Amino acid sequence: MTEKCLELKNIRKGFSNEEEVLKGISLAIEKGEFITLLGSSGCGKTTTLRIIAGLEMPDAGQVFLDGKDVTALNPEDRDVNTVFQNYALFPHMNVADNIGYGLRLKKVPRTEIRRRVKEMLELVQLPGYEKRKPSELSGGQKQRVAIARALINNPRVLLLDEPLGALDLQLRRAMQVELKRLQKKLGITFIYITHDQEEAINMSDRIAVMNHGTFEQIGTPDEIYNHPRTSYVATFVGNANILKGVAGATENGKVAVNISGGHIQADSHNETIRPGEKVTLAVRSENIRIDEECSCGLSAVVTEKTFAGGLLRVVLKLTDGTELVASRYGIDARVQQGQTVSVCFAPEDAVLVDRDAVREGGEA
Amino acid sequence: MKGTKAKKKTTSVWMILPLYFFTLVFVAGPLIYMVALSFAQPGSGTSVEWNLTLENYRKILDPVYLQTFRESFQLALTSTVIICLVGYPFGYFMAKMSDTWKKRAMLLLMLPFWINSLIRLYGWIIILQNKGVLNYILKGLGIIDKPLKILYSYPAIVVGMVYVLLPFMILSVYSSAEKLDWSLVEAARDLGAGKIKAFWTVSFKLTLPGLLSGVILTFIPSMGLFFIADILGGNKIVLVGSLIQEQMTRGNNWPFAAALAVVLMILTSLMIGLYRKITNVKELEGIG
Repeated sequence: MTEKCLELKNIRKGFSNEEEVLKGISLAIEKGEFITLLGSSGCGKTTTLRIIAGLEMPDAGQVFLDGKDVTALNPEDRDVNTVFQNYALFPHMNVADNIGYGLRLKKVPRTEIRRRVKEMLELVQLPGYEKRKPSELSGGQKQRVAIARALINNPRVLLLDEPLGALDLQLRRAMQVELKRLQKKLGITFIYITHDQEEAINMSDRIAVMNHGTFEQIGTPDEIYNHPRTSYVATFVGNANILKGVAGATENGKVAVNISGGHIQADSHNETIRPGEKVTLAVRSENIRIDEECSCGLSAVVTEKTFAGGLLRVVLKLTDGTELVASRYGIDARVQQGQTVSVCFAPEDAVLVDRDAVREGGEA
Repeated sequence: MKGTKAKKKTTSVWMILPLYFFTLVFVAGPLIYMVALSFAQPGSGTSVEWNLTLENYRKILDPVYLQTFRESFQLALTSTVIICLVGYPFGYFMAKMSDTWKKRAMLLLMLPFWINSLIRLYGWIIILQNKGVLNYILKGLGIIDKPLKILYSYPAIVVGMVYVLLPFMILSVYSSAEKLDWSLVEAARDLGAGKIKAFWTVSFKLTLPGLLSGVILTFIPSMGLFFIADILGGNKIVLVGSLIQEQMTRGNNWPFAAALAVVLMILTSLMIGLYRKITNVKELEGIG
């Protein structure tokens, strides 16, 4: 068993007169792991980070760092460092003084500080930038300095609050690769916050999808993307379509589902599904086929057809009013707006979601 | 095209010309007149005889007048230090207050400006005099037996200076603390600085310009404010400001008053220059 580096137990946090921001979240992170908290703004991911850093006190629950309860400790007494969203570089100090700040507080000798600052600047690929002021740096350079300033202290855990949020797309991609490289090289545990699912999937060992102050699902990028457990995860991470229907008989690991007057089949994944039970299916848009050889067939009307960078997006409306989005590469001129088509997908592409709610609350 | 552009340029010059004119006539003019006057001789009454002389400046070197400068400087320094010690925390914590409390604090701060400062200083007489409010309270609490003779003394002038000039310091510090990015303080804490260390290395360094301009805003007037010394000091302590005023009114010696004013101006300018230099050097050093 690998050792737990950081553990959150039942963390609760609310601000005055508002709904609780965190509703009792728990999370165990292993040493050297790159874990991403993924969620839209207001889901509580930044609050979680601030509680780990000690900048915010939880109303209830505990934070363990290397098995030690640090819940009541001040931020300066925790072996955790943060890369802030706005970089938070000290404007009155040059790059070297910014990076060496933590070491100066620890009374490390000046010559050693100078050496380690130099090393750090080489690591983040900014050699020779010691004397620059933060105001003379570009966004990407500031970001690197902020990372170096945190990493030089050799923290147990590095917290990164949407560190690439302010950078343009190209720089973002380059920094993603670089951050991942740094993390592998140093073996430091990274807790990364983002609202960008692509970024999360690219970089993380594990992703924790947050929604309304709870974790919807915690798992590897593959699990999150291919086996979403809830409809929120399926739509937020995979841009999936959500279909609601009624279950029929289960045969050979496949359950028949009645949706919008049509019948389709979905993998049951060893779930026991009683006939007549309401089920929710998530199907990603690239897996939806239109008017081809189908094992199923749901009647739908094409309401919209758009091209976006080589990708054809077709919006369909089922007879019960549910909207579906199908997407594929290349131009498909066969379907026309207003046309009635048959929609289908393979059973293995239909993922049963929101089963926990069914199990807990009976037939919802 | 070229013609219209050139024409536009000349019109804009004409537009700002009144501004230059105003500055020249009402700012530079009196200053030049004052410097010129300081080299003239006093005539009978308020008249001036334009014989070039250094007599006025030589007169300042008289120990009596040097003493006046020294006392004024001392008083200004004392008042400014007290103003810093009271005003900095006030302005700093005001910036940290919630918006409603900020508004209330600001109102409290601005309220005295609605009343003439002379009248407010007379209020201090009521508080500080022998049978005044302060002595009444101190006696009532059993802290003193005999009333303290604060009024018409050095401490009374300091109290008055601090009272009149404090708002300028508070507002100056407040405006720079208000702009302070508090996430920088969080970053400092995160990197291992305790509350006090984070304050000195980050918050204080970044609000220093506010404190600096506050010092300038309070130190310079406190060298010249004559009415405070007159009202609360009861003419017992003569400051440069009151000396200049006296020479212009009762003394009928405008050239000497002008020379005193020129010396005061040069001294304060030198002090500001020196102060700027010291604080700039400190800023470059960073922390540690």
